[in-house]
Amino acid sequence: MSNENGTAYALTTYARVETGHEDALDAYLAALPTGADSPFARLDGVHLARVQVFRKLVHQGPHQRPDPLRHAHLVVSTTFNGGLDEHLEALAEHVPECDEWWGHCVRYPGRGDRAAFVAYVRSIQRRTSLFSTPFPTATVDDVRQSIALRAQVIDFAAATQHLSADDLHRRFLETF
Amino acid sequence: MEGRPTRLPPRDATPADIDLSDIQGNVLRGYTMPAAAYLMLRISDVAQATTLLRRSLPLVCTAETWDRQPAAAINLSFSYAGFQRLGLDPDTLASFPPAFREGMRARATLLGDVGPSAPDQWEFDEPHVLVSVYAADAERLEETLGSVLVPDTQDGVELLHVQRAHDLPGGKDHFGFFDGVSQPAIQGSGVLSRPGDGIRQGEHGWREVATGEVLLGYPDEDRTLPKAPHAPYDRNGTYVVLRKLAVDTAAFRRFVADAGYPGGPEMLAAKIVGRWPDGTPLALAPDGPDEALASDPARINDFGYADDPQGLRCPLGSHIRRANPRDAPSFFGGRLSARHRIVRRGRAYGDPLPPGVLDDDGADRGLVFVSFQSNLWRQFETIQAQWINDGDRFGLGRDTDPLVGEPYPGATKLTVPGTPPYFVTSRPRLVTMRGGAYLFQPSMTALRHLARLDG
Ligand code: HEM
Repeated sequence: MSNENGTAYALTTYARVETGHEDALDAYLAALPTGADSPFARLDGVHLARVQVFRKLVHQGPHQRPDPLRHAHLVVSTTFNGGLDEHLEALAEHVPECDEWWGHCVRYPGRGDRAAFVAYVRSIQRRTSLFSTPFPTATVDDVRQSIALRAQVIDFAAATQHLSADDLHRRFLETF
Repeated sequence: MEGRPTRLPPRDATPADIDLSDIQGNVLRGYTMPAAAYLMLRISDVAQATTLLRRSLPLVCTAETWDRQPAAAINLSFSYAGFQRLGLDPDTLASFPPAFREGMRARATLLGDVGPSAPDQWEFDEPHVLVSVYAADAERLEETLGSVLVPDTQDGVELLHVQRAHDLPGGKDHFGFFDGVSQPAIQGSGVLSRPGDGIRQGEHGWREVATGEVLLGYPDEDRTLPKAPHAPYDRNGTYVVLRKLAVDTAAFRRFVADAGYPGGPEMLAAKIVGRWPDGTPLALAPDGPDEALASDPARINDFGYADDPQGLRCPLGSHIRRANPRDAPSFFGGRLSARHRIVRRGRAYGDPLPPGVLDDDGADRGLVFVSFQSNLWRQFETIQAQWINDGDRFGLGRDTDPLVGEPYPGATKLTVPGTPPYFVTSRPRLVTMRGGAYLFQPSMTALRHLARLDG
């Protein structure tokens, strides 16, 4: 497994949280808007993004060794279409919130010096060991268009289910 | 009072290998007593409440088998606020899981309790104590309510709300469907299960659900002990979901009558539930009810969905297929469903709307929904939030459960699979939440501890 799957890329980063900052960071993340107001909604190619604090690793049952963490870690993971460099540039450009969450982590240089920002994120990057995506080749735009088309088809089917074959055919040609 | 039909007798007893005398009885089997009432109490004086608790202990029914059905029985459970009021120590309080500590009101958005179902519309505040009272008839019920549980402030408790409930004729719900058929078969419980109660094993077989899915202190389906609070609450207890769900019978009748479904209103209603009114499962008899099948305990629940991947017989979005997807494709042969089972002990309340009436008469009627599980979030909340109030898991977009789901804007379509499929749009609100709580129903040992009777 690797960071890439088709044209999709999965960025996984772990940053050590400054001791004593855990609660403030958690509170900040909890208050972040989601959905259309999410900071990541400003980036065109992002399928999915997750920002969370790991204080301990969840114990999954008897076959797993309990794995306590000495320090809390901030885990930022994003799945997007396109290259990593462009993605990091876009993050620096459009997501000032980075300064807030990574600002609670050790050695974060800020976004002012782009090269330092990119080098920092790359330094905390880990290889994504299990990357499965339902859309390995579709871009975010493709997915959006497909969803819109699906909704349109469903509405069409629901609105025309009582029509005769001829009328249905005509309406189909009119609509699509 | 008419009770459940005799054609489907209660499940038989078999030797148990858990300590039935330490478990409150309503968890492992329904009492099949026709009259019931739920008393919601708030504790104003702890010492007096403890006295009341001590006084009511002898009436608490355990899971031990009866030689003769008692005339009345009670069971006791407590909310987090109740435990706080009773003075549990901070460490023990903190050992309860977040969903329970937060309480049902705080989880309203997640559960889809919005609009007319939102907590600010509820009829009662969170109780400290829930006393479930069951009796052989209405008279015994009043007697029990009156004698032991004089719920007045002199006893240190304040009566928040009394919710009476009773069996409707023929064991049906207010939509006219036979309810209370399917229950998880619980390992070691001493209740002889019916085929279909448990989890798919092999192509036609069934196995029981691990005890720990319902009772704390026993291995669950993951073969580990479910997370449990500190002793003595760590064993033989269970979490309780209580929801008063008002139903609009007239709206349901108008909805199925006006939908224009080619199979007719009765078939549409069955497609919505996943069973015919007499309990016949659509998975086995998609074309019409089958009295012989519905009267046969060995067959009424003996089905899966693996052989109906598109939902041509039982729609993907029907109530029972959402609430327990069994071995439907993408549920890993039933292993996924096995982690999301609940024991249902709901009862109807209010008088039925007379047959044929299409206008609401304004009467309050519905279901006092009660479920037992060892994990509120993984079991009840997952079913409610992700399966009933969202369609994504079933490839149905945002569409919610056509019988009991929240009719969010844009989520009220119902798809009846077929060639061609049939779409019913603009489902009205059929169920409104009127109040509820998360509670913990302790073991007998823990009850005695709470009553300060354990030395
Ligand atoms: C007024 C509200 C409700 C009504 C009228 C209702 C009615 C029914 C009916 C008629 C059945 C089929 C009979 C049976 O298999 O026992 C059923 C099954 C079931 N219901 Fe509901 N229900 C309601 C609310 C809920 C809610 C809120 C949940 C869960 C969050 C739920 C979970 C289930 C489950 C798990 C089954 C059994 C499915 C199976 O194992 O096949 N129900 N319900």
